Order: sequence, then structure tokens, then C-alpha cells
Amino acid sequence: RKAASRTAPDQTPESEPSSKGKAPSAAAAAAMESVEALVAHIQGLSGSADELAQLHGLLKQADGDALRAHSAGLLPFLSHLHPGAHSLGYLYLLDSFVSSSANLRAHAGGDLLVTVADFLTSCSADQIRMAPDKFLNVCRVLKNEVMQLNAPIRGIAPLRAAVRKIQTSSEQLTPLHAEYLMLCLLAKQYKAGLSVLEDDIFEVDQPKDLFLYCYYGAMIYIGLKKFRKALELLHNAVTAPMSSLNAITVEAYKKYVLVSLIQSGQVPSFPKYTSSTAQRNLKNHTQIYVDLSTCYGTGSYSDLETFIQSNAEAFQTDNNFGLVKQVLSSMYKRNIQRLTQTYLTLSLEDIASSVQLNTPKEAEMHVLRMVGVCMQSGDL
Amino acid sequence: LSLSGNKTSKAARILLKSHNLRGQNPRPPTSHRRRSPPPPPPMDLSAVHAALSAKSYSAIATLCDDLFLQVASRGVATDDWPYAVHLLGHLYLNDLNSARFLWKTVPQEVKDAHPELGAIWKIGQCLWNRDYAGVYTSAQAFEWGPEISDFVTAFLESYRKRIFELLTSAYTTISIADVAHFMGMSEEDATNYAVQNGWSLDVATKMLTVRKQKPQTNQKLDASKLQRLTECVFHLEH
Repeated sequence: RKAASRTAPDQTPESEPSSKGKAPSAAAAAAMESVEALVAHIQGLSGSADELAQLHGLLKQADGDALRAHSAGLLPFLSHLHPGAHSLGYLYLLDSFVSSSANLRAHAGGDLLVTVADFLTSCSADQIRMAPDKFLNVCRVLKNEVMQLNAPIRGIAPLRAAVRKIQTSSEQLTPLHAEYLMLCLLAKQYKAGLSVLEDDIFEVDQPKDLFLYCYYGAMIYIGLKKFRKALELLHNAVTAPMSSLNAITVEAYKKYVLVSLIQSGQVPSFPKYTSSTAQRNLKNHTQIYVDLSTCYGTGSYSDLETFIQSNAEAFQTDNNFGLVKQVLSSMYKRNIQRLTQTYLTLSLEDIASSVQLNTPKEAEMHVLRMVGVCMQSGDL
Repeated sequence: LSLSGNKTSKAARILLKSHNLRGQNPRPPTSHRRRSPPPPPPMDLSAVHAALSAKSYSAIATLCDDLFLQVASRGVATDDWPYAVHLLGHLYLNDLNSARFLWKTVPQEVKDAHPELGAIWKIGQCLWNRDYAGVYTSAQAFEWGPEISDFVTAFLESYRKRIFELLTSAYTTISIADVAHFMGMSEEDATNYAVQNGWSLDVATKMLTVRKQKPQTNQKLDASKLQRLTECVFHLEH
């Protein structure tokens, strides 16, 4: 994988621009020459691990005046490099370019996003892991840009590739996980979120990453109506060690209450390993949800409906109204199930009258639907 | 990102000047082996067409999902995306959630411009609302284009089969009229379908008796295996 032309080994490049007493344009030209020299190095030194180590040193030296001061002119140099073969050098140039908001504004909506997307998809994982902060920075810029364009879907395929590149193993949680899941949520591409959620996470570097990952991940599962998996993640967010309550955990607990009611009709109490902070304070911040679960426990559909109506605005503000409506409709299913625990056979009329449905035919349709759901989830 | 001849030679000249390599044959700094790949065409839908021709209908949804994300990441306008096929792909797998989310992301102009898409969505709505009969009537009410027409037919067949399995699980006896309603068939056709699948008919009451599928037993528990297991555990504990 050696480039066709190598500079002779005894030639050392000039990497510091000489700007003493020269006019600005000449200084800029000198800087450009040094960038070209850098590019030649990138092409020549991207072969073996030793070469890359040497290249890395040169890049770090250049990362400062040479790259940042004239970052606007860096873009054309990227076309001399291959994102897959020269990932490390490409990353340095790209990172320098996108770190300036002036550059981003100048290229907004143009090919820059495609360039970044291509880089993330085709870069070499080994090389970019030598400069993880820069890699994360480039990913973050991509995410911000697609959000600005109101097109979160554009960031999904590239970020999915990026997560895999920067992970040292599939069990490691990266800061990118939460950002990727957020884009999936905004773009309503829930199935795309599954691909990172299906990995079990055992390595976490930053607690903040974990909270967001659990919260967004749970929302993806909720969108897919996989409530059991959502509960696992919400449970983690609620019971994770914390010295003070954070907003993510409070929101997670609200959804935890709602999803528990939908899934099993009741909210489990805190396990022993929950932090004392959470145990003492969570319910104070989520009072209407606690009240909702109490009301649910009475088994009366009309009472629950009244409670929900009177607190509708609060639920709407929390963006939980959709879930709350699902809690309400789960009441029918819950009550029918409760009946079957008492009686071996029930007439449809009995079901209809106990469960406050209008006609036996409606009851029949509900039961048919429950059978259908059981068949789908495999536990008939 | 492909290089033009002029750019490389200029860069090469500057490099040569700074590195004093006179006399050496000036080669461009980038080898042609290292040239960046040419940009892919805007929307390569050949995989989708291939799947449709091969009738691999269950693969369509995942294929479309992945391809859609790739296309979106290139910033290509998605007005010509085959939404109708994509949507039907989800319905074929009975994945109503994905179908709903896809429908929500389609821009209104595209919905207005493609009546076929709206017709597919109507089927989806019937599925969502459990309007069992409506699925058939909406599917049969529209003049489908050639490529999607086979797909719709296949969808209806698979749907009918799924409903039949549901009825088998939920009922022991059921009236012919109800079966006809659920299966979107005439009473005669419904009766024939049911009887062919092993149900029995009582002509007087017009009731069909369901033949249940035997549940699959996974393993036969052997007394001798149980004995061996007990011995193992005993051995381990002592």
C-alpha cells in the first residue's frame, strides 16, 4: 500500500511557515506549501504502523498554526487523499476545516456533508482510533449540521458506521451512541436504532453517556412497542449510581411508571441497589405519575379516564400523552385477563359487561385481537 | 473526488520545487491506485427491482430501509423514492409500526403526486384498525401498476393465510358468514378454503368446526435421560 512516489528519506519537509516580515499573502502561500508537504507525507506515511506513528507526530506538530490559521483552504487538499487509506491525515485536515464555523457557514448545504459522510463510512478504524477526540468532533459537527438542515435522517447511515469504527469492542459505550439514537428518534427511523441497541454494553467511560443512551434507547424500544426491553433500559437509568438527581433520570422514571403499567399493570418498587438519592427524591418530582399508577390500581376505566383528562396538559408538556393513552387502553386487556384468572369460561356478554364494553361483539373483537397479539409475540 | 490532470501536475511541480528533486521523473503525488472512488449514482434502485422480480417480498422492507438511509446520507432528493413498494414491504411483514413511521416521513407533495402510495396506505389503515374485510376491498379497488401488482397479490395471499391461522387459534366453531367476512371471500369460497384445510362443516347450522394445529413438541423427555441427569448432578454435588 505504498504511494507511487515517496520523498527520499533524507529530505525533511519544512513544516513551520516562515512569516517573518513577509506580506500576508506570501505567508498564506507559505502555509499552503507546508500543507502540501504535509499532504505528501500523509500519502507517503500511511502504510505500516511505524509510518503512521511517525505521521502522527508530524500531524500533531502541524496541528496549530499551519492547519488552523488557514483552515479555509484545506478543503481542496482532501481530494488528493483517500479517506480509507489516509484516514489519519484526512481526519486532521477535515477536523481542522470543520472546527471553524465560518467554514461551515460558507459550505452549508453543499457537498461538505457528503464528504464527511463518505469519510465516516470508509475510514480505517485503526487509523482514526489514534485521534479519537478529533473523530468525535467531526461526528458531532455532522450531527449539528444535519440538525440545522432539519434532516436528521442524513446523519444516520454515517453515524452508524462511525460508532462501529471508534468502538474498540461491541461492548463499549461511546459518546456517539446517544447521538446516533437521538438522530434515529428525530427521523423516526426506529429500526435503525436497534442495530446498536442489540449489543450488550459492559464498558462505560462516561456516566453521562450511559444515562442518555438508556433514555433514548428506551424511547426507541417504546416506539417499536418492545416494552420489556424499554423497561430494562429505563430501569438502568433509574437505578444507576448517582450522587444527585439529574433531569434524565427524572424523565426516565416518568416513562418507567407508564411503561410498567402498560406491560404488567403495576410499578415495581425500587430495588435495594438503587441510589438513596433516587429513592428519596424521584417520586417528589413525578407526583402525577405516582397518582396515575394509584388510580390504575383501582381497575376502574372511567376513573382513570377522568384522571387523565384533568391532567392532560401536564402529560402533554412532558411529551408523554401518547404513552398515557396506551396506559388507558391497556386497562381493557388487564381487566379481561383478570377475569380469566377467576373464571374458566366466560361468556362474551359477561366480559362485555364487566369490562365496560358496549356489546358482546366488541368483546369478541377484543379477545380476537389479544389472541392475535399473543400469536405474534409467540407466547400463546 | 476524481483528480484532473491539471491539478496533479501543478501540485507535483510545487512539490518538486520545494524538495529539489530535479532530474527525477515527475510523477503525480497521488498514485492512481489511491484515487478516491467515483461517486455512486444518485439513486441505485436495482436491488429493489431485482427483489421484486425474484419475488423475495419478505426482504423488501429491510432492503428499502437500508438503501433509503444510504440515499439520504448523500443528500439526494427522495421524491422519486419507491415509497409505495417500501410501504407494502412493511405491510407484507405485518410491521405496522414501521409502516406508520414511514408514512409520517413522506412529504405531502409526494403523497399528493402518487395515488398508488395513498392506496397502499389505505390498506395499511384497514390493517391498523383491524378492518379485516376492508383490507381486501381496498386492495381490490385500485388499479395497480405492473410492478407492484404482483406484490399486492402476494400480500393478499399471505394476509389471508395469517387471518386463517388467527381464526384457527381463536375459535373452536365459527359461522360461515364470519369466516367469509374475515377472509374477504364469498361464503362458498370460504367454506371450500376451510374444508381444504381440514375444517369440518355442519351444513344445517352453517357452522365450521376448526381443526387445531397440533402444537410442536420440542423434545421427548426420556426417563433414561432424566436418570443420567440425576446421576450427573449427584456426582457433582458430592
